[in-house]
Amino acid sequence: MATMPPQSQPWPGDRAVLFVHGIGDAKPGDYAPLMQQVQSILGDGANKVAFYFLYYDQIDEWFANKVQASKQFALLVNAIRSRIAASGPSSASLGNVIAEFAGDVIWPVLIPDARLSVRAALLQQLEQIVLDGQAANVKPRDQHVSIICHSMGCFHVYEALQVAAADPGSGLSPATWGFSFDNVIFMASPVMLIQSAVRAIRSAIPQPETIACGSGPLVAPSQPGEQGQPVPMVKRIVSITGNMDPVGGYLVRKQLPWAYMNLPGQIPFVDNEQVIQVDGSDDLSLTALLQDAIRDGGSPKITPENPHDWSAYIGRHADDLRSWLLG
Amino acid sequence: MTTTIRRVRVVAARACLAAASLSAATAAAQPSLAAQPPLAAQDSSARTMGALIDTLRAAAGRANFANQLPVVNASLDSLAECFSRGGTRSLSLEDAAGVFKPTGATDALTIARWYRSPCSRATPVTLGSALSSLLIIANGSLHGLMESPTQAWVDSFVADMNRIVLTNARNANQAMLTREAAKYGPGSAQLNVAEVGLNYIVQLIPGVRRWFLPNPAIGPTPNELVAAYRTTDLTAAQAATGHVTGRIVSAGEVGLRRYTFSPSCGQGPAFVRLFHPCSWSTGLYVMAPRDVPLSRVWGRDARAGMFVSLSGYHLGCTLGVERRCAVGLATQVLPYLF
Repeated sequence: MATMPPQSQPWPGDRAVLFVHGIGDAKPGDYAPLMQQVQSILGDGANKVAFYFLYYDQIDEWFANKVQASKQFALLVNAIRSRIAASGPSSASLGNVIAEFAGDVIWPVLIPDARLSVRAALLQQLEQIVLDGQAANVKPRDQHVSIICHSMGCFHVYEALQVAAADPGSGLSPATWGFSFDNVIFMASPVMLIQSAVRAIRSAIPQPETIACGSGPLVAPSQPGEQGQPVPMVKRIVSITGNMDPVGGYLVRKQLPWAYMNLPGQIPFVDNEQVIQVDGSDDLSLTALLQDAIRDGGSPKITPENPHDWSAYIGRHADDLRSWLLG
Repeated sequence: MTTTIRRVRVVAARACLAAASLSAATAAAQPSLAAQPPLAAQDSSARTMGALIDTLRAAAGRANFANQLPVVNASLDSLAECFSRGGTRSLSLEDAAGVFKPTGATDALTIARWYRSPCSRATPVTLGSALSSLLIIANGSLHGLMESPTQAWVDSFVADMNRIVLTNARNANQAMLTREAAKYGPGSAQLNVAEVGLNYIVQLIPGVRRWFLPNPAIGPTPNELVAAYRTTDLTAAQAATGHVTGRIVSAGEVGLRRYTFSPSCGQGPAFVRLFHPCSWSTGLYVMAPRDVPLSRVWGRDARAGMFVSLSGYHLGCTLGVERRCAVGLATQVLPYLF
């Protein structure tokens, strides 16, 4: 029996969208409401789109059970906590929560097999999507495939696309096969945050060369073309974050250059987010919200007041999504 | 030695000159490419790399590609020469797609022919990268200059090859996930804190780490360090009364675990699983000086020997004056310490 076989389905048209979630304890079906939200936004256009969802928490569970990963990374969490605390004395309590969250986010960084496994799961899903398109008689160069990722899912997407673009054996490299994605939409991407962490602890990371975002500046995935020019793998890269979302590189409306992802050529959006103040302090309410949003330990909760909430990002960009995904 | 190298160089140079002359003569004997119809119109069943090359060159000739993009046109000519000399023009679409397999290429004869070719010796180009370069040209600037029938034939060729490559890549990723699940998933050996630390550190030590790091193309290494303190091993010893009695003893294990990654391992009844394990391990086995549980198993007076473990069952024997053999299960009473 296959381990985590990719989702496969007949295409109703020439379009497909893959959703890649962030951290949590998501099981297949948990994000069905989110997908319904996108289908509702697309209206009749949704009937022509094949929707895919990559659930990979099972892999995270393997490693958590095998090596008790959370206990191994206290040092890393402390480093992040102190860095955030340096942003200002009022950020200390928020820093504690973010540090715990960041520990959850970047523990796969320290275990090469963990990141390779999720990457393999993501790549096989992308390969299956293009195969499904071919089965529907849509040639790769005529396919309209988009990816919408959130939080930690953005890291895995970034890594997988960098590898796939450079390797003709993946069947997805743009110059060799003439295939490219219509859109990759990053929502609250921690790619830059992870790059900063990787650089800070590089000597403690086994096989760091297999982390694409860890070497050199962040770049859009591409492959050298016939004259050496970069052939982009993605036609449109969108980066959306909120000005209250620390995972996306903002701490209480202030951009953190070491945590905000800024890919060359990306279309950036920074949503103006509001959180309810507690005793006149944004920090305290945000701390409570993040604790609720991140450390839920169960299926993802969709709460509109949570600055990191995926559903809220999608809701705020409904018109954009309709234009990007169906245009 | 120097003379031999010079001779090789002279022979290679002569071979290149001869091949170049032959190539020029062949080109002169051929009708003008610009006058030829697309290959697709001639024979749509000819799905070889030679057919693709000829189709691309014909399209380039008709589109006056040499004047529009001389560098790319020269690359196409150079690649055509490489495939011709490398004996790989006859490579079928399916075989060419197999070259991109992550875990292996096409048949050894094709590879040998390619690497014996003067083109390959002159430039460090692998067959895979040459194929990719050819496809990049097919999908690049030339694509927009092709006439519709030629473009359709090329697109169909590339798409069919792409389908095989995608299938191979998906299967390779699936195989990687299966191996990762065998090593890290449910049913695999859990690591205690000492083992987590050891297996992490060993991945950072130059010279040794390559045995413990995953291969990005195929997945996890089969190797894993073992460092366990067993508290429930069972041994038999002669008591003071002369009777042989069973005793619970503590033992330590330091060694290497190997995962078999066999697809059918760990299935069937216990006896079958024992001899068809998903992992086995062996290494140093140490016991306390006396046959008592929860005792110190290291120090000068400790007994030492070897252990073998299969499918969660292990047998350890110590040597010396107080020889003992003990059996036990992988289950640990103190699982999160040692």
